[in-house]
Amino acid sequence: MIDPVDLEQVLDRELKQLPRPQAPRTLLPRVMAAAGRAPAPWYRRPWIAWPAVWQVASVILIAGFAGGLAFVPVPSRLVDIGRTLSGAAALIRVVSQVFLQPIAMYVLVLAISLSVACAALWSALNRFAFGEASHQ
Amino acid sequence: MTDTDRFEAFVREFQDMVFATAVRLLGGAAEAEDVAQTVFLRAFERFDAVGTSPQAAGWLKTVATNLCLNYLSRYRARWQFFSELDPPAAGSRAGVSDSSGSFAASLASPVTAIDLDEADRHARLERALRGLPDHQRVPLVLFHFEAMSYDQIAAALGVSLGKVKTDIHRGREALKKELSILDRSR
Repeated sequence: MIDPVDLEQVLDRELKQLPRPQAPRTLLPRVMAAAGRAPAPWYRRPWIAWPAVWQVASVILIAGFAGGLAFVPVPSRLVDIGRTLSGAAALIRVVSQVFLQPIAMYVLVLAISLSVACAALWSALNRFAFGEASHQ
Repeated sequence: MTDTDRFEAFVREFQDMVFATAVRLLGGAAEAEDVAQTVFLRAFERFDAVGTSPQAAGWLKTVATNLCLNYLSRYRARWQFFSELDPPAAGSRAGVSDSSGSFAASLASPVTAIDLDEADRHARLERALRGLPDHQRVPLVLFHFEAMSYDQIAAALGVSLGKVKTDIHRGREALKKELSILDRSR
């Protein structure tokens, strides 16, 4: 008759000597296949595929940051640098008025149009091509 | 190294540990593989944090243990019912029964004739462990392999401390029979 305490110790030793069971070879491919089907976390996806709440929040955040910059007092040293550069700025202004301003509106409209087209194309691909593929 | 490569290396490193935890708690390789897959998918969802954490192994073991207990809890009502019955009725799985000795008796004659080497001895003990009924194997594995105390096991399983002690004792008695057979055969 083995004392329960002895039995506990004997069994503990015996059980801990057991070799660790090996994972079946099928486990790794199964996990990798399932992980490949799992959607990436939202912050790893392109902005267009973020949840609407995060899209709105990010726009508000960036707008707030940009707006906040307008109220940040400019350090006097930067003002001095600005005066130094004012000569160069005047030259650039002239070049801008002569060459750039006439086409600025067209460039702006073109840039916005291309951005909207890219966003629309990406959404369409996401919905009809990548989205369907991920459900297979 | 891409994220996929890093995750694959991570799975390779820990797959045996996770599978071992699951297969000893669940007693079956197929269920253990399913649980191990779920564990690694959980890790994949937060791989940025888990992948580089020095506590990754502990985290995986905890998740594996919890998922196994959740898996078993689907059968908890039946599990508790059987464990409260007299010992002869408790051996719900084929294989080891804790006091009837039928499993031991079935092994006695062929085993004594064979000179088992250490690998065979381990294999038979592992099989006997997995063959224990759930209500004996689970607390026994939590105690000996996961280093949990009786109190922690009782809390994790939602049963009384007395029941944990009784079940572990019965499990040990069943394994003792297996060990004595193996020792006699040497």
